[in-house]
Amino acid sequence: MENVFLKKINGKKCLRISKDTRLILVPNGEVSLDVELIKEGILVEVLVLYKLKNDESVFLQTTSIHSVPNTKCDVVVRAVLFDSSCSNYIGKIYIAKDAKGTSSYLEDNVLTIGEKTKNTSQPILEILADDVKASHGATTGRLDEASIYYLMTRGLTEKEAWDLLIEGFFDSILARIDEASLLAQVRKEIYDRK
Amino acid sequence: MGRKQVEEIDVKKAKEARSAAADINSNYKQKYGFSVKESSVFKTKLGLDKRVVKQISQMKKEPSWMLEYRLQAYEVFKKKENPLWGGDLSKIDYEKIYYYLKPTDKEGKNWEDVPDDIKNTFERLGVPQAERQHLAGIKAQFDSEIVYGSLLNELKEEGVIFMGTDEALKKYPHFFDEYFGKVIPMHDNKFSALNSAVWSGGSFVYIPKGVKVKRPLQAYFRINAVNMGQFERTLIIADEGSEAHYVEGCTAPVYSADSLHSAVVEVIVKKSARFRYTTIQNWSNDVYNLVTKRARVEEDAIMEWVDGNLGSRLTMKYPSCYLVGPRAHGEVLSIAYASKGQHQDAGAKMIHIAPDTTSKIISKSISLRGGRSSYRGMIAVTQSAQNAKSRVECDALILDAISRSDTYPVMKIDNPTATIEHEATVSKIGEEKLFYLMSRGLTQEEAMGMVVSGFIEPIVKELPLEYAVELNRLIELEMEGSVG
Repeated sequence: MENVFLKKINGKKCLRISKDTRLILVPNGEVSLDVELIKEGILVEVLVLYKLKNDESVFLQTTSIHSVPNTKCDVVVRAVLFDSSCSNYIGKIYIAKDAKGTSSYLEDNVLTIGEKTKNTSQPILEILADDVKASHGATTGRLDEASIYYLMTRGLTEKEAWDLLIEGFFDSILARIDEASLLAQVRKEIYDRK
Repeated sequence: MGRKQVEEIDVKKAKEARSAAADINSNYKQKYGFSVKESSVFKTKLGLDKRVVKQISQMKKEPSWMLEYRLQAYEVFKKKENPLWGGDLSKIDYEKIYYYLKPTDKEGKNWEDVPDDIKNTFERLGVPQAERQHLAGIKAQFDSEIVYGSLLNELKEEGVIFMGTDEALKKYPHFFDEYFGKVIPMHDNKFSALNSAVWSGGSFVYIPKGVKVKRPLQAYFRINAVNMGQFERTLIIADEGSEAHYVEGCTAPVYSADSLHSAVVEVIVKKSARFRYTTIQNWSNDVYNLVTKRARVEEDAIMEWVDGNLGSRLTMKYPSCYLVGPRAHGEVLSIAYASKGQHQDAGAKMIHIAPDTTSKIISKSISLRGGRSSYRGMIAVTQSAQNAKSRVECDALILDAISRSDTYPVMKIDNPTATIEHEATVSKIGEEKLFYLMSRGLTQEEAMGMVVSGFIEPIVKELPLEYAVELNRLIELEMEGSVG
């Protein structure tokens, strides 16, 4: 499977994909990504990870378009919102009439850490074929206080506990990236972005 | 009788049942498609203008503030555009609708006083005489006005008010001053404005403090004239600590022209009260069902909407709860069934305004024979709602390749302490489930019927018995023609 790190997308981008691909995106500002699966039997993963501080905001839209039969798409979004940051995500799955045997999944998990964060999630399904599996799950919530408490009883400071849990939140997805150098790049982009 | 003969008869019966059920709404005419000859005493002219609105108000001998309210709403209606989202509304011609029809001169106090032809309609509808005894009270809406209403004495003694909205406006004006149009203002949307301008009939319910009504309050609604819109207006107030369940079911005969149903239902659930509103709509397949339903839920109160959408050409209905008091809870259970030529655009809205409020939405939809079902929902958590919790589950079944299913949820979370979960799945009936049931001796049709019944079971079990039976039977019949 080929890994593609989509850097510096501004505005709208449409990709037509014909082989197994893992797309990685660390969005900034306003981003719209359409992924169309145009060859039978392929698998596409879209990993979207971001962390927002102060009054930063992201307006993100992804669309998984299944035009041909027997394709598989998996979109995972992980966002952490600090301070008064704001995230707005529209994640759409579109399965065309002829795309039988499609399997499509979208998962959107947002951690709200700041005191004035705003999050809007709109996971959308438009299904015009019958022999398909399509689903999405979206959650918005805080970190579990009990987990933080547990880590602090093990000698971590509160800040270290938070950092560790947030790292774990991203790492569960980052673990899919099987190229060490790319993984380092993506990490840097998530944590060290200005 | 020999065994073979018995088998033959069974096969014959099964065949008959199958052909009868081939498309339930195509033989609607034989089953429900009677329309009693119109004998309306008064009818406004076709279309809508200021004069029609004035005429409606005059006919009802309303207070002048209501006339002003109607006229103002008419202006709002004219200014507002049809919504651009949801279903196709372009074919509605507002000029080809009668906005008011008065079927009889007065409301019948006893069953005997109800005119014969109207009685016939209800008998065909399956509201048996004997069953009336068991109903806590019937408000039957025939065309635009209530023709029959009864209230059991025990309810009366407890101070429960259950009557037509028109009558209540005359008898209890103070409730209208305080609550009418407060939960759903006329400006809310085009159809709430239309209803505010031409509303007629509907139910008014008041449950006094601490009163727990054990039996469901029921209402039957019916449209019976070509091109007749029905604009009922329901206002329900459940006072502090009270409990009640209101049930509304609809069925309508088939017409050739499009018919519009646009109701407004306002519910106020006061502190620690609990209210459930159950609707099963089975409008004929040419009805536009565009309904605004909303509840204001106060401190520690619970509001539950149970919503079944089986009929109509297009339904756009999103029962909502405004959770304005701490620890208020809102719930919507929704079933949509979209067959040939139907679009069910249904869903729910939960607006969390106060701290520690919770909500739950469960939606199940079935699309077949080219039908389209859409879930459209909204969870909003405002900055003032600390520690709100909400959970949404949407499951959809698509039974054939020509049908469609959509999910359009919005989660707008402006308070970081909220815990929000949303899940949706769309799939067809699993081959392995069918295979297993068929290996146990069921036909494919029976197996599919069983899977579908199981799929909607979590909601059906919340319905009053007679509705649950009816719904299951209807789905079973529909499913029989769906294989091959």
